[in-house]
Amino acid sequence: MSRFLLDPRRRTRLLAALLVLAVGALGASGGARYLAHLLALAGAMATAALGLALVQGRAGQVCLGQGAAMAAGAYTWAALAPRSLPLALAAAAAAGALAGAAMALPARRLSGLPLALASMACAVIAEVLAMRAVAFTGGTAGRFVALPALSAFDEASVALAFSTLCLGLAVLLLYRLDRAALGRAWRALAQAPEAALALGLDVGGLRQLAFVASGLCGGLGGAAYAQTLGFISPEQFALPLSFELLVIAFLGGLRHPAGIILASLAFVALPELADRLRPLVGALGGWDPLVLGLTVVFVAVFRKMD
Amino acid sequence: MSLAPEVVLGGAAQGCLYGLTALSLVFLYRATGVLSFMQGEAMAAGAYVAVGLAALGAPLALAALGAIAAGYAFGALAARCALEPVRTRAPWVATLATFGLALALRGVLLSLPAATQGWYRFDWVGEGRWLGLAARQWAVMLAAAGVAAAFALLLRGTDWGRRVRASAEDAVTAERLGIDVARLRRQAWGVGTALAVAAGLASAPVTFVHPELGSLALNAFPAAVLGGMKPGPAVLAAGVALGVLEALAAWQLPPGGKELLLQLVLIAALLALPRERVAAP
Repeated sequence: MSRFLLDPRRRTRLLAALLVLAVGALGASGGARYLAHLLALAGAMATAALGLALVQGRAGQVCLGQGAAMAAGAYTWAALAPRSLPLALAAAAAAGALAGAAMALPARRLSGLPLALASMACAVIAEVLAMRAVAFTGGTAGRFVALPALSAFDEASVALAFSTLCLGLAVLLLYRLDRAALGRAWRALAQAPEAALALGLDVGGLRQLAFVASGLCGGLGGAAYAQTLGFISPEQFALPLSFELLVIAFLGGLRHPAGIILASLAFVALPELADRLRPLVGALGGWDPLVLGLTVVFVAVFRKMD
Repeated sequence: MSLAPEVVLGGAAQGCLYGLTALSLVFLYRATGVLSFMQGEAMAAGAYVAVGLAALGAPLALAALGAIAAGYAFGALAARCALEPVRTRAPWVATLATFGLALALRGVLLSLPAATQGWYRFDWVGEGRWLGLAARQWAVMLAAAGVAAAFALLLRGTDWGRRVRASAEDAVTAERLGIDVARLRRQAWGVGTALAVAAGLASAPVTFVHPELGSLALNAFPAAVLGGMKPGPAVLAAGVALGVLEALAAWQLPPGGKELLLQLVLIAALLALPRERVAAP
């Protein structure tokens, strides 16, 4: 048994199987609508985390502000979805890309840790703007997302379908870019920045493009997030969200979309599972952050990185 | 306009706390190569330990020392169990581990009914006013200066400090010279966390002790970068400058203005600093 657990690939498979079992048990206990809601939420988180896989797994830069791109996409979707769905989706993706571009403004001069800190500053700025632009965002009170009228289906199914669509678009983008010249240039930038410079690649521009593409995924994820929850407020998009997305991207494996999707499923299922265990621990106010934090530390220590 | 000196002095008191927190951040970054996101939670948890010890009947000075020792123990233990094992595997994983530890600490704090149901004071100063400021604010400034001076002495004047600085400069050579670099890094995690606890205790007279006490650590990042990412008086001075700037912005700008201003200062400082100063060691 211990030998079985020492093999990292088997350990990963075992974890994946346990996860599927856990989500299945959650679905069995909560019903189909509940399961659809969980899956839709996981899809939204995975969509945004795939952007980080782009900016980090490909271009080798760290983004600490993906929550800002999600916020841009979510609020744009909430504002435009009642008018036209395709327009709202395109606008949400564009708003996310714009947020990514704003984060990457210093990317011509900065890289690595300074650039990561600049993106974190942008995430804080985005949260403040979301709190103050009351007419557009509803301020700290938040705003409801008017759900498109599809009377034949319930909300959770609509959200799941939409979330799957956004996830599919992000995966498609990732695969297309991996096979394009741009993807190869990013990999060169990540693995040998000096060689990339010597080859005459526009290193600063490549970093900026990576953030724009990542922001686009973030915008799509934000739209799916808003559609799934039906209500958004600024503190949902505060710094912890950016960090949680980073945790999903890192611990899921930056190179593998499947790993990221599984990790976001685990991330969504974990608080629900912790909630089921609550009768065992009684009224602990900090049970959720405690379980989440210890899981992050545990997985960081025991997961084999690639 | 007659309020201006008091606004500036009050901002400076708050800024001392930013500077002190930034000092712990920068020290850990230089000594271990990891950007820590658990300094704020360490501040809050340490303040609660001190409150708890004082409630058990310990004198205030002893309670403060106990909390600082607990901070050292937590930092060193976290380094041994989680942060050092992941450090070499991939960059940023250790940073994410500090985020996980911060969440766990926060979870523990929120789970203590006594911690969430009341507001506590760890007041080692008392009432009084001098030159328009409360004695508490003067005490915060003095405490910050004292802690920073003691830390500078530890880093510059002792053998341990020399070994830490040598290992941060060039780990391979330090190892060859017989310095146990890994052990030193664990100790550095302990000292950095203890320093954050000291900052939390310094802030306790003016802010009360509550689970959100550590939220001021967010403003330690601009102070750290503005101070040049090197442990020294520049970081403390940058913190004071930011505190004053924040106080003036809160006084004159519309709500939300001070947060925006500090983050814009962070971006500007990142762009203005010479590159090798902020690059990974």
